[in-house]
Amino acid sequence: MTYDVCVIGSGAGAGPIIYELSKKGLKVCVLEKGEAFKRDDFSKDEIALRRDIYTPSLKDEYHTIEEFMDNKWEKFPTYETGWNFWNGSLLGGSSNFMSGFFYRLKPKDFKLYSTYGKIKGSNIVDWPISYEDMEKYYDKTEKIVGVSGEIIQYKHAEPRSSKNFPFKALDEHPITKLIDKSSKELGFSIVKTPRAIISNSLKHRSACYYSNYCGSYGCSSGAKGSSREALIIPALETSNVTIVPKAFVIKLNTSKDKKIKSAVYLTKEGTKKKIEAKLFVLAAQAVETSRLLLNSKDENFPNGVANNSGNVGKNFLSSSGGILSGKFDEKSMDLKELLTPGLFVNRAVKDFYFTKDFKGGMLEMVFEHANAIRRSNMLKWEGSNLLIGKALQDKLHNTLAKTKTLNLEIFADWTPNDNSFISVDEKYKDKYGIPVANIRIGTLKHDLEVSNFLAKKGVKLLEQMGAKDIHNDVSALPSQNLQAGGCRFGNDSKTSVLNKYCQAHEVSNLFVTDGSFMPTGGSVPYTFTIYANSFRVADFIKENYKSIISS
Amino acid sequence: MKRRNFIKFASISVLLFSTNSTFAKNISANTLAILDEVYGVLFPKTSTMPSAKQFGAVKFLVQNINHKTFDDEDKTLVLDGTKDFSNSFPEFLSLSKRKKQELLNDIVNSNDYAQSWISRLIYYGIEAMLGDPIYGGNTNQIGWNSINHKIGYPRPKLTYGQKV
Repeated sequence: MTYDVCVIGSGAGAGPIIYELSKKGLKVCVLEKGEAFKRDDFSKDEIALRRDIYTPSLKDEYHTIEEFMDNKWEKFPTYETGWNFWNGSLLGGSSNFMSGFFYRLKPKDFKLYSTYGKIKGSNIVDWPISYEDMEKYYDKTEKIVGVSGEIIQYKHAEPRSSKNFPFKALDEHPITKLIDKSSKELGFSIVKTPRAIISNSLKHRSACYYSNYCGSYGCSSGAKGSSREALIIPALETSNVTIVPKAFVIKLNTSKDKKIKSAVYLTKEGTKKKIEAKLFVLAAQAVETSRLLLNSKDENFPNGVANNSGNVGKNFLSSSGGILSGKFDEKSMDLKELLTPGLFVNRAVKDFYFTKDFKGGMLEMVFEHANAIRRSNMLKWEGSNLLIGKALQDKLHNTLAKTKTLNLEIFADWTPNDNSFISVDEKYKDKYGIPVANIRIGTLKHDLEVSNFLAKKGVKLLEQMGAKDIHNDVSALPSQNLQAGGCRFGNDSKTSVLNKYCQAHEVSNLFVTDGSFMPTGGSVPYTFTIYANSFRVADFIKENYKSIISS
Repeated sequence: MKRRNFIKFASISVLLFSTNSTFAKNISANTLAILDEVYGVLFPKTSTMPSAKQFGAVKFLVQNINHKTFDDEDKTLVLDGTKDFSNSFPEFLSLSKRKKQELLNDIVNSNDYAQSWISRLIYYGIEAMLGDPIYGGNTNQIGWNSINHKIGYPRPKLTYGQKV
């Protein structure tokens, strides 16, 4: 059978395509590397989470991370370091495990080059579309995926077509009173976090029940707007969707007319199979998307599919920043209130998102995750010494039963540059013999300077709140769960992989709809923009399907 | 002395054979006896926290160490480290409780190998104390209760995220 559309991946970049095109009546086949877990399969099991059951074993399938050390670039396989760049190989991808804070990019994020000019050593460009082009799709995502929150006006607030979020704000933790008071004292605006977690039931999805185990866990009520819950389950009702789980796509085959003919995949047992389709949408998360294109070499594309221009893999993006933390106890506020589980902090500092002279970023406030095992394991150390016996037991009790740690996650733009890219190397192969993705993680000094600028603001706030043991862990290293770039979109086929509709310049029946398209990523998590853009591309495909497949 | 060891061997063997017979093929009773005593020093009962015996540290290891998701290097470090410790301190089991504490306090931060071995034991002790009881530790939720931990629901029906 030849499908109308074959979608590779099933996360945030894939969901809107699957949803929209199946509703249009097209026959859609979804190739998902992982298993098709259902809502009832998820639980709040920290041991299962710590055994990485939703990602491949790093011994079998890994990445190499390329870092600049001792004046040269060196590759480190992740099975040696444990630094895991897989984020969720299962139906719905890593959107199952997101914390779901959903900030839009702002108009100036779409034209960073025009706004601030070029930073030395960077590859900053303006996007080929504007905020106005994307706005209706942000709005659509808020309604279909479901976003809860309260609109707050502040200096850098972006324009919106809908007055309110479609779902009221989730219940807030009592510490927000202290945050708001301290913010006011410092002259910071109070910005409330919108979340892709619904506060009222929506069709088959129940409202959030404040489980206390949200980020990193699959949702057991369907409140979290994962691609699986919000988009794939409704799409399955059309009977136009075929899900093929445990299908690891290793190559795209092309024909002489430079179109994709088929996708070759391996089953869990390593058997090679093939799916044919008229149109292909690739959304395997940025690192794996570039890897697949680079590994798909043939006579039409000797450097990999859609890569005759040599742009695939270039300008990888993540998020710079790091984290600040401060501890609160009964002297900060009533202990019972402080230890209230499950409720959201939902506060951010966004006054410094733009400054006069440079692009700033934001600070997102979130309690340290509930995971008792992870937190306890960190407490066993006193400097470089291990604690044992009563000293260990007392520290565990006094910390876990009597304090709570508030984190301020720093989000600063990852400036695209020549030393941030995805490549493949025949020397490093996974258990199937397929070259793994190498991720070179070079950053500009500028990014660290912006993070330090933001960290100073965050430390001030924590001090104002009376936090103890304030830690400042500013870092230029990437967040492995925040991946974008590698197939940037643009109007010039010499400098970009995709056109403004995320259609490959060189392959007319190939679209890429995960975060790979982004030339710059803003200072927020990418998921909301990936969803919105995927809805935008779906509209284009719906309107032009016949001409695309016949061109 | 012999009788003392025999008692330990016997009590742990019951535990062993009742939970995981495969494990019995891979680990000596002496290793288990030492682990039991070492865990007693690492996690003693305090006015607020349960002892390793109470939350089932060794039972947890017995039940989980052979699972495919248990890190191979950790497994080697836990088992070989225990054997090496036993070879280095053959008198350990016969020492008084206070002397056992002194010995482990002396070695814990004395060299990288000892620190790595004990660090891993503490980690899996913490998993036993604060993981879901479905894995064999945290007996009657004693670990969660000791730190007033608010658990998340639903709890797992099956181990290691198996499909329901």
